[in-house]
Amino acid sequence: MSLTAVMLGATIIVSGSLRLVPGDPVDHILGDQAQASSRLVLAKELGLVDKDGNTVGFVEQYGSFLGSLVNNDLKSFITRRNTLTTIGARLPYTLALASCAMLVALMIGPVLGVMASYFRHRWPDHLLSIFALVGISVPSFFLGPVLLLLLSIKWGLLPISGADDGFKSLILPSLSMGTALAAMLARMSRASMLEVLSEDFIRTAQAKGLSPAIVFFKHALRNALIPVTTLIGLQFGAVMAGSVVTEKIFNWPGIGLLLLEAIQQLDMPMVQSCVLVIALIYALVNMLTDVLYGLIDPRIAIGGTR
Amino acid sequence: MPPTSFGFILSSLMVLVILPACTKSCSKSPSSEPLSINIAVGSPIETIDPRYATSAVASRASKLVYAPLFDLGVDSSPEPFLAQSIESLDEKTFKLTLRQGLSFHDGSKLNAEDVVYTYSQLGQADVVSPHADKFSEYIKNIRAVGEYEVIFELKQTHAPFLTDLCALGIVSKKSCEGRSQACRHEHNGSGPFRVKNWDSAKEVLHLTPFANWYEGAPKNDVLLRVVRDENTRLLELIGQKTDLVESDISPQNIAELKKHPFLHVQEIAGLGYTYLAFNVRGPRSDDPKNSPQYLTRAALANKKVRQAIAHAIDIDQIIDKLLLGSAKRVSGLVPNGHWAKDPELQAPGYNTKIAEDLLDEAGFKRIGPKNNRFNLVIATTPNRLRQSIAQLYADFLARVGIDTTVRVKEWGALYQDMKQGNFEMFSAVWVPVTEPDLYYFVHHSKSIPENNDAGGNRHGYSNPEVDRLIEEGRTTMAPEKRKAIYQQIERIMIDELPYIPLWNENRIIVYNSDRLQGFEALPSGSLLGIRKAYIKGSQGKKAGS
Repeated sequence: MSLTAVMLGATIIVSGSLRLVPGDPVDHILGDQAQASSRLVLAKELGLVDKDGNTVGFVEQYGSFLGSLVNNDLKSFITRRNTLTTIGARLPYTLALASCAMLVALMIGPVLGVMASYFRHRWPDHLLSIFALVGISVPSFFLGPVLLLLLSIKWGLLPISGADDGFKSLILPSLSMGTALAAMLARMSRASMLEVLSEDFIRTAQAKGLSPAIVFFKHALRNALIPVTTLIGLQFGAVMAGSVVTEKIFNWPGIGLLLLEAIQQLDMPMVQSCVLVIALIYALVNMLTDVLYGLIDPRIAIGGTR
Repeated sequence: MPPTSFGFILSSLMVLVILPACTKSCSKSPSSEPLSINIAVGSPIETIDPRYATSAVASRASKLVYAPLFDLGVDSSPEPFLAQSIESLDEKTFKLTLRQGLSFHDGSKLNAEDVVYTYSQLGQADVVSPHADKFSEYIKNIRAVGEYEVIFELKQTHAPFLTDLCALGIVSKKSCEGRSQACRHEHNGSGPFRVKNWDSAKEVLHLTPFANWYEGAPKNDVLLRVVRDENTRLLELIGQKTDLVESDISPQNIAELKKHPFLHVQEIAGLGYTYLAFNVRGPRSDDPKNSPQYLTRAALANKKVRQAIAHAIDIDQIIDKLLLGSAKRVSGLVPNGHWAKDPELQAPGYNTKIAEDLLDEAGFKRIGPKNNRFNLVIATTPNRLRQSIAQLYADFLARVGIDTTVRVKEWGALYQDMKQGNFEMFSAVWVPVTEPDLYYFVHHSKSIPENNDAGGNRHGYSNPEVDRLIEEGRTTMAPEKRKAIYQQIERIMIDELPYIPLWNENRIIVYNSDRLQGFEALPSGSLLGIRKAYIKGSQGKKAGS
């Protein structure tokens, strides 16, 4: 129920917003030299005006969108191809990129953050703080081409662009996207660990004579993972929809660029379909995050009661 | 549950998500098809059906699959392609003869009925082609008079007719009649290449030679790949993943590309017309007198002010410093080297004294604490180069007392403003300018959007003499007379300056000369030259699989 509400709400807001953007999709399709009569015919075909030539209202247009969606007959204004088929062809690539970027972030970020908390106020902590700062500050549109120049052109280790070389194609885009995420996770992990390490139960565990490793990794780390898990969930959704720069640099066939270009061309059905899919994935990821809370800390039950 | 289990679950989920994509993407890569010609284009190909292709890249791709009756040659004049010849029976009637033995990719014969169908059905309700209005404006009737002969009857003499026939590839009547929307995705064309596969996710259009192409089948497959980022295109050329990039490279990257001996970098004169447009309509009825908007609009409606602005901007310096010499100054809409061009006609040169004198003569003297004459807003798109150029315009104009602001707008919003006349000045490009009849769309008073929703005269220019000459130009068939007419128009325009003519930007073509042989670039930007090109060492070998 809430999933449906999220998806509907997102598409309603985006559809309404797109209507406020100046421009006319008919202009994008027919170009400069089409006469008013041709524009009217196309506008009717696209459902932008009714049979009398009056602009179709938002409610009616949204209803038409839902009807076409249910019948799997929603077509892009520009390509006249089924939007869900187009998105479906690209979705695995977007999910793969987002997942690999998160994997890079998870392999690097929490590890470095935990190490920084273990060695707090000593040189590894300072070094890792610098990494975090640089990682967050360096934009992907700089890092991406640098990685390409070194790893693809100079050393010839990895493909230059595209998604044709299997897992090798994923490495550079994932590194480019994952580095900034890793930096954020490192900082969050460090802060979370330091907070947990100052808790009474940690002092109790130490007083009981447990080894530092067990105190640190078994007791402190698990409790520190909760806020980190929240961040991971939020970042996954952001990475899904916000990978436009990476997709452009590495020519990765994801839905980020598809959505951006659809907005620029006022391709309403494609925008609505992309937002629907992204909202669905966002909602599923948040549900998964809730499940992971329960796995990390059994005291957190789904439903909120002990 | 211990973290190890949590980590296991997380890892498993990720593998399950990544695996389909990796499996999916383990298809043949361009680098694994060494006998294919890899071409990187900078924007998506939305369709290759010629009836619907409007963008430059879509039109270029379309011609490889759907050949037109004529194509523009090296000097931009129409040359027979699918047509064998065309004969003028009188000034309004033409008999076109098709080559014999042509066929579509499904093996069916291409004959006169297909030509009639292609042109006569453009405006039908199930087609609604963007090109319909252009042809319906002057074509009265088309009919087949034999298996290979077509008669075109025009409503009036229309000199650009042959050039217009270069724009549209021929589609199959048998495939498309009554099922136009379905056939636009089936790609049963008539061109030198047929569609082998179109991966819409990875945006790769794989074309393979058409065995029955009348000139002889091309030698290699072609992969048209969309690579949006220019840096990535550059790296792909250097990394030898891409064989050819046509017109999608900036002048700033030429020096880097020339460092690699296997890359052939070629600049040829382009047909794009870059200009600065003024809104010459004058003050609106609701503009309060003496308000800044009133003053600006009154200024732009004054010919002397426009001439002053033209003299105030050092265009040669912009070409030299920002475009790195990859453009040539032009004196009007007709490109340099065009048959209709007057090579003696010069655009206004940089001279701030003349600019200041003209502004004083026009009554816009320097006044007030800022010592300026009036304010001006130049609208531009977010493109970084265009923004830099606009900023330079503002700097030059400030020196002669015109306080100029650069306003950046997304193209959709800017285009709306242009259509509604809601601007003061903007810079844009008409591309490609192959026919001087473009004057009708751009400067004829009937093309002002208030008079004609489809008009391109967004600046609101109206001159009865220019209107008369434009109409005469489109109805005069004799080339020398047409030339004289358009040269006269250009002389008037260089005086009146509703546009400041800026430059024709060079087209930059880069290809891997170690691999690609026999490629000839055409000024129009057409990719048809690729049909005669081949990958070195591939003659006699089977291309693709």
